[in-house]
Parts: sequence; structure tokens; C-alpha cells
Amino acid sequence: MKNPMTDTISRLAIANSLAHWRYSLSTILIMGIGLLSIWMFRGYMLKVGDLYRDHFTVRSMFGEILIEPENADNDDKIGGITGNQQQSLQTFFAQDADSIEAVVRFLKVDGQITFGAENSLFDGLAYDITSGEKIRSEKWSWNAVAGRPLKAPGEIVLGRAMARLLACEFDSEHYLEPSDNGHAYIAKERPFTCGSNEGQVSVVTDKGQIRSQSMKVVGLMDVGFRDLDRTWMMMDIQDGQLLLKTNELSWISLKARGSSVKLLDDVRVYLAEHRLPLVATPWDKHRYTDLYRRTMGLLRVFEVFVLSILSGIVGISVFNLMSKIVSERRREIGLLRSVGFNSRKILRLFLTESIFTSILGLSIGAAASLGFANVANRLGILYKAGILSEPVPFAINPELSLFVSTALILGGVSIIASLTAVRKALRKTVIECLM
Amino acid sequence: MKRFFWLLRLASLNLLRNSKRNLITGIALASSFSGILLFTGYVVWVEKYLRANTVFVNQSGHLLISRPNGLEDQLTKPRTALLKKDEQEKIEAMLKGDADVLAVGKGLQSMMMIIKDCRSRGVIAIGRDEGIDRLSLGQPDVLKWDYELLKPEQIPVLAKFRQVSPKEAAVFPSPILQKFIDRKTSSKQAGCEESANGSLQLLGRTTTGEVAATDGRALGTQSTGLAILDERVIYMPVKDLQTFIETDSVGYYTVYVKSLLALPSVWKRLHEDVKASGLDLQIQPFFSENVGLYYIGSVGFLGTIAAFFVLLVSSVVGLSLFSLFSMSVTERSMEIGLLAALGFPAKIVIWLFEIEAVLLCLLSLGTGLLVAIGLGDLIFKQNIRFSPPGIAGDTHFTIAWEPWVMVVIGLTFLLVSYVSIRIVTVLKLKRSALSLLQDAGTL
Amino acid sequence: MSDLAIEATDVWKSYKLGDTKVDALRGLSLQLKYGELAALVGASGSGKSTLLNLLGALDKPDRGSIAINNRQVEAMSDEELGQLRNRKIGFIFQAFHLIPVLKTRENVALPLQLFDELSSKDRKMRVESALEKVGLLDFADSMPTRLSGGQRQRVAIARALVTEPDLILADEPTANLDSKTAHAIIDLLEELNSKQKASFLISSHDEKLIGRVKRVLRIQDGTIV
Repeated sequence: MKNPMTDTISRLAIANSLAHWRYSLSTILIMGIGLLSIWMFRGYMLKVGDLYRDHFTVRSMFGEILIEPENADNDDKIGGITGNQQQSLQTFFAQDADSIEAVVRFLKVDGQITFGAENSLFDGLAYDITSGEKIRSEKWSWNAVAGRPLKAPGEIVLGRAMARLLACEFDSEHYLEPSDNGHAYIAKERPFTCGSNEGQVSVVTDKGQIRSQSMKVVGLMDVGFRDLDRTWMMMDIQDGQLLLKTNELSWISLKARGSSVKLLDDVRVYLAEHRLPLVATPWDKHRYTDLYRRTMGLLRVFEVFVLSILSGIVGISVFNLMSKIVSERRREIGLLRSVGFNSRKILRLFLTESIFTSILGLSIGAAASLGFANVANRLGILYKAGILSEPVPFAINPELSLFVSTALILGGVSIIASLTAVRKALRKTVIECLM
Repeated sequence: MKRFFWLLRLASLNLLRNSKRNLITGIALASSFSGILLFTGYVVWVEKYLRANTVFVNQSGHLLISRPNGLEDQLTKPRTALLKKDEQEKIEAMLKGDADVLAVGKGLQSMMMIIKDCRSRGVIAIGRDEGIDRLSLGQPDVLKWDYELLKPEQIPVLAKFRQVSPKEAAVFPSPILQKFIDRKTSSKQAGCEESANGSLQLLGRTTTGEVAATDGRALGTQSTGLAILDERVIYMPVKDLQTFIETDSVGYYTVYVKSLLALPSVWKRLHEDVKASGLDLQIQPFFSENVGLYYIGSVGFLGTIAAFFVLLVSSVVGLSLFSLFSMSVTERSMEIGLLAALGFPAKIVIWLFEIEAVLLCLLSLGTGLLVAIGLGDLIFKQNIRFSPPGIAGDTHFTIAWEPWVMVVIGLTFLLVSYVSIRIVTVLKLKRSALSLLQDAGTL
Repeated sequence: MSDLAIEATDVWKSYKLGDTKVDALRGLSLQLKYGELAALVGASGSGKSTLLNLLGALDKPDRGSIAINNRQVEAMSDEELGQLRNRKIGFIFQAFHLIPVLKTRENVALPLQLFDELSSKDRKMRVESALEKVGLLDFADSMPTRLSGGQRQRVAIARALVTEPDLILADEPTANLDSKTAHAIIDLLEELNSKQKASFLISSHDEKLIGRVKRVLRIQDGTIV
């Protein structure tokens, strides 16, 4: 059965909130702006994380899981994943085909490239072209700044900075278009010229042998970091293995179709069961993504900082307002107590008012935030995000979970502040209130 | 003036009147200010660290003089990209006697392979000017912010090495490449025997395109300070690198100014001198993308975040102050009415409240500043190690102060306070003295 | 030059009470000579306070004219009205309206803050003179919160006197006081009138209290009867 007192208190609370609309308005505005500030800042941090995630997992084709030899970071050996190990892994990939969207094999290749009189050392990767394109998804499937992406063996793409070193010329603007996570390349073959279209690629094998092959430069790319770009080259996996006279791989990247956590567990179980001296690492824990981890770690600290300061300001403002409200309605409180309302009911009354105005404030703040995010995301303001070579758009990701957590925190702070203010006032006697 | 002091006194007394509320608001203001200072203090530290790193540790100088695109072209086209002896003399003559110039250094870069026991790695060798190394050791900025990157012991080590092994190239690999050098080879092949610790071979090309090869010795590590560069950089004395690629040319000159304030004038003079000399040269400051990519990228990124943060906090603070001032002004409607009734013009009443708001703000900012400095000092003394993005290894977490940044933020807060109180009082004074006198002082 | 401190002719003033328009003054006319003491008597809601507010240049009439010191109030700008109130009129409020953070002497000195021509010494002399007249010189450094109702009203009177105005208006100065104190205040005002050159107009709803004042103006339904 409904408690009539609850109804009375709720109606009284709402009527009071509307009657004292100036105070309510102040509280609503503070909650609204507080929510907007915190949610938007967190949304911005999230977007930065999204940018880095997109860069590593999609554009750089790391996928979600990297499988490599156990001591990969301490060994300079070429390759590392042997032919037998690869066969064993193929069995797993076939068994678990439903959970795997793409498998990309990688082999680190370094050596020297010569274009006529120009030559440069290079540091690059040989990879599966077809599945690489799949892992890059539609957004990055065209990953050439000039020319076109790799399509077949016998071809190479060079880092943009390396291309400049080798006297290649190309239009360095007008190749990007805005998309969800930063920009993407306009899928169009843009002209470029190098001294010669064919370069002589030379490497040193594990046995100390020098091997060379003539390869055609079909495109130029940006690997994201200028200093990597200077020596960057990519080729098909077959070419890499042929040049290095090996059938080994440096690592294998997996993109999950569904839960990457489950896939990771499955891979690890498989590796353990078959005693393969390989490790499976999620992309965000791998040594190659140290920059991502450090950046996100720093941003998390910033986030906590911002959250604390802004919540504190909101809490203090609500406390001040509530103290004032309670002090002005002292006689009202005295009257309610004199007709039988006990302290708990009065607390509930003010708490209901506080919740009502907080909900209004958070709702208005939510609407304003979505508007703000929409405008910010459309403005297309570009800025340099750390050491990424291309500028990125200033954007905000107004994710729902961020809104919920922010609203809960602010709501909680506001309620605690309100109750603290009211409790203080309730220490007075009825007569003191009525005077 | 007398009136100002009278208003100041009345404002101070009024602040004490609602002491609890004003104290709580003051705490909020002080905390926000303190928080922003600490936040921007981190950004300032990154800026100082990277600036000292770029300019002195990595020897880019405040200004870098090279051929157009010479900084990159020297890696693949040394014959045309390097600065010849006569050009060097002209450049040195331009800078000689410039009172604002602290020092001038030479730089050179080349691609090569380092080979250790049949294992090889492509690297970029950066030639270090020994004179600039010695200079850096005494630079206040470097001593304060990048002291962990300094290796003063390498100077006597290098001197001794030259006496003992004059024909070997001195190499100072990054810590990451030192690991590569120290690692025992995992594959045993014929002819690949483990060589002595620290010894390695260098393989590259001379300026004329001929194969260049020499023995080298790693004498100690030198980090670039940046993780991504440490993967692929070794340092060598410029002389050793010149010998290796068989040239007396250099890739670039680095100019170090005595004070940052003098940089624009030095740059301008140099630009005019270069133009007058007819030499085809490019002068780039340390904060250009080609020279200081990490500096500009990191500072730009953090600066954007900091600006966003300051904007948001100022908005929330502004609204809180607006609400507080509305309460204060409304409570004192009668007093405002009284002053108006006694003939006080509106502007004097507005001044009264403005002084009160500014006073509250200044007291809060002062407190916030002291708290921030105290916390910054405490943080420094804790010797917290942390790994900021892009930096090699870890470093001592520090908060740094830049007065102009603190002033700008303080002024932002003051402006927000001033605007809030002004809006509130001007709106209030639109009412007649009579209606204000009759106002109960509630919202 | 007229010897009238106040000349109000056919003054109308109305105000809104919710949706209702209330005519507080309906064609009221009155004159007060320099140095004259008059009492304004009427029941609650008769228009006393409205009239005093108009005569004190705190408000302007809807119709009619008011001349204070031979100057038409309706034609003055807000700045001129402010100066008039500061220099020529002393207003004593029913609720005293003292600033709680200022001492007694500072409250009294409040209007003198706009007297730039006065030196600090002269200001001090005026304040002390005003306090002496109301018998509160010993309380010059007390805070208003420590004074009784009667003492606070005396401070308000001293504040009204300190600028040596031509006209002093007291709006129900005894309403918040007990009868003994109220009588004492009225006695004080009469005494001050005999010593100062200023005209006094005192309003009250208590006929017995100010019945002894020589000139009594009765206000009823917005007019002088």
C-alpha cells in the first residue's frame, strides 16, 4: 500500500523546488555545467585513446592479439616462429575459424635500398597483403599517401620520409578526408615519381649472406611517426621470406570476430597444451604499444584530477546553495516540525528536492553536452596529438558509460552536500527555527 | 583614493560577515587554482625537459643552420647536402662576435649499420660536438631538467680512448642499442665468433658513395631522451663521423643563444647575413617540426589538453561564483538600497561588490598558489619515478613553474570573478532604491 | 524665493499588487515650510510611506508635481536625485537600516563618504556632533548589534542629521520600539527641530504618540484630509 506521507513529501518537494525556482535554477545550472565539463573532458580523453587504438590495431595492423616467440624482445634472430610452429598454429586457426576474423603474418626485414645513386637503410615489415587489408578495415584499406597500396609480391611501399630522402616527389597535401577516428586517406591513386620505379633491395640473412632483389615501388605511406617513416618499407610476406631465405615469421596478428578476451584465452591454452615456445599478448600490453599505455596512463591521471576538482567545486556550490535555502526556510522547517514532521521526514523532503533538481540539472547538462560534442566534432579543428605525424581533429566521444558514471558521481556529491547542509540546520530546536 | 580604502575596508568587513560561506567558496577557488597550477606545472615541466633535451642534449641548438632540407638529405645525399669548408667559414664569420650567441656547434648525421658478431642493425649516427657537450654540462636548464641524461664521465673516457685507440671510432649507443651490442648471439654460424665487449664494426657509405667500414667501440650509453629515437640512434664525436664518411664537411650548424628573449633578434640578424652572403641556407628554430618534432608535438598536445581543462574549470568556477555572488548581493538588497537612498551613485555600489569579489579571489588565488608550490615541492622530494609518453625509460616526476602561465591563469580567474559580480550587481541596481530597501533579501 | 521646503501639488501614485492596481495617493497636495515640524498621521495603508518616499526623492509621482527646495523632482535625473538625497534630505527609516559590519560612528558617517570637500577632521567633527545631539557619543565605537532598538534608531537619526540637510523625513520611526522609547524618540525629534534649521516630517499611525506635535497632517485614502 502506498504511503501517503511519501506522496506528500514528494509533492511538497516538487512544489518547493518550483516555488524557490531561483535556487533550483542555480543548482540545475551548476549540475548541468559540471556534468558538461566532466563528461566532455572524459569524452575527449576517450577520443584520444580511440585515435591511438585505431592507429595501432587497425592502421598498423597489430590486430587485437600478437603471437610471437617467447624471447622475442631479447633476440635479434631473424623470424622466430618456425615452419612447424606455424603449421601447428594453422590447425588452431582452422579449428577456431569462427572466432577469428583475420590472421596476418609478419616478418621484420631490414637492409638497404638503392635507387640509382640514392640509397638508404631501411627497417620494415613483410606481411600478408590480403589479410592485412582485411584487418585494416575499410577506413585504412587504402593506406597510401601517394601511388597505391601493395597488391602483389614483387612490390614495395616506402615510408613518406624515406621517399623524400630518395628524391621521390609527390603531393604531400590533399590526401586526407575526415572520418570517425581522425582522418583517413582518400582512396585514389595520387601520382609520385622516384628516380627510378625499381629499387634494389638488399638484406643480410641469418647466415651472414647478402641477398638482393629488384622490387617495384608502387606507393608511399605514412607509418604515423616521422622517425619510423624515414626508414620504413613494406612488402609482401613471400618477398620477405624469399629475400631472407627463411620460412619463419616474427609475429602473427589476430583480429577477433567477437570477444578478443576469449580468443586470447583460447590461444594461450592452445600454446600451453602443445608446448609451443610462443606467447600471445593483447595489443595494448605489447612492448610495441608502450607509447599507447603511457599516454593512456597519463590521461587517466588527468581524468581523475579533473573529476576530483570539478566534483569538488560542484559539491561546494551545492552545499552553499543548500545552506542558504535551509537558512531561509528555517521557519518553514520549524512549522513542519511543530506539526509533527520528524527530522528524517524533513531530511527526506530536502533530499527529494535535491534529487529532483539534480536530475533536471543532469538532464539539461546531458542535452547541452551532446550539443557541445556535436558542434566540437563538426568544427574539424586540427591539432598535433603528441608525436603522431599527422594532425588529428579535436573531437569528443560522448560515450554513455561516461555519462552514467559522471552523473552518478555528481549526483552523489550533490546529495551528500545537500544532506550535510540540512543536517546542520536540523540541530536547532523547533522554537529556534520558528523565531 | 580615500574612498577606495574606505570601500576596501567595507569589502573586507563584508567578506568576514559571511565568513563560513566565503571560506568554503574560497577553498573551492583555491583548490581549483591549485589544481590547474599543478596540471599546467606538469605541462611546463614537459616543455622545459623537452626544450633542454632538444636544444642541448640532442644538440639541435636554438637555431639550426643547414642547406634547405639538409637535415634529412645529409643521410642519403651527403655530397650535395653537406656544408663545405668555405661555407663553414662564412657561417662561423656571421656568428662570430654576436653578443647574444652563447656558442656555435657543428653537427652531422649519417646512416650506417652497426655489426656485432654477425648481427647487424641499421642506425642513424649523430655526430656530437664535444664543445657543446661540455657546454651542456654547465647549462642551468639541462642541470635542472635533464640531469639524468648527462654523462660528464664520458668526456675523460673519450679523451683516454683517443690516446689508446686513435684508429677506432668512438661510439655512444642509446641504452636500447647497447642491449643489442651486449646480447650474446643466439645463432652460431661459421666465422661468427663473439668479439670483445663493446667492440663492433660500422658499415656505411662515404660521401662519394664508396663503402665505408671501420672498427668502433661503445664507450658508454647516451640516451636521446626519447623512446622512439633510442631505438635507432647512436652518437659519435663529429670528428669520428667525418673520418668515417671521409669528409671535412658538416651537415649543419647549431646556434645557442644566451637568453630565449634574444632568439628572435639573433634569428633575424642571421637571416639577413645569410641573405647578404648569397649562401643557400635554411635557418630553423628548435620548435620547428623538422628540428623539434617531439618538442612541438608533445607541448602542443599537452597544451591543448591544459587549455581545455582551464576552460572547463573556469566555466564551473564562474557559475559557482555567479551563484554565490547572487546570494550575497540579494541578501544585502536592503543595504544596497540604503546606499542608493543616501545618494551613493550606482558605480560606487558596484565598485564595493567588485572589490569584495576581487579580494576574495585574490586571497583564494594566493592560498591556492602556496598550496600548489608546497605540493609541487613535496612531490619532487618524494622522488617519484614515472614514464611519460615518448620519453626513454623513466624519469623523476617533477612539477615546474612558469610565472607567466600562473599569471595568465590567475587573471582568468580574476576576470571570471569580476564579470560574475559585475553582472549580478548591475542587474540588481536596475531596480530602484525603494524596491531594494523593501526587499527581504531572499532569492 | 519660496519659503517652502516641500510643495506637493495634485500628486498621484499607484502601484501593482499582483494583478490589482492600487492608488496609494490620489491628487494629494501639501506644503511644508522651512524649519517646520509636522506629523503625518494615517491608518495602515493610507499612503504615508508612499508619500514620504516621494518626498524623499526615492520615487517619482505618476502625476502631479513635487518641489523640494524649489526643485521639481520629476524633472531630475537619477544622479541629481541621488545628490539631492545626499545633501538636502535626511531619511529615518522604520527599520533603522544600519549596516551591521560598521561601527556606530561609521554608520553615521556613511552619507559623508560622498562629501569630497570635507576633510577627515571635519567629517569626524560632524559625526561626533551628530552623535552628541542624539546622546550616543559614548557608543561611537559600538557595533549596531550591541545596541538596543532605541539606540539604533538614534544612530539612524544621527545619520540623517550629519549632512545638515534642509529636510528630515522620518517614516514611522517608532513602529519597532516600545512606547517609552517611542516617546523618547519623538521628544528627541522635537528637540532637534527646535535646534536645527531643518524641516521635519514624521509619519506614524499612532495619534496619541504624536498628538502633541503642532501641525498634524491627516492622510486618508491617498489624500490629506
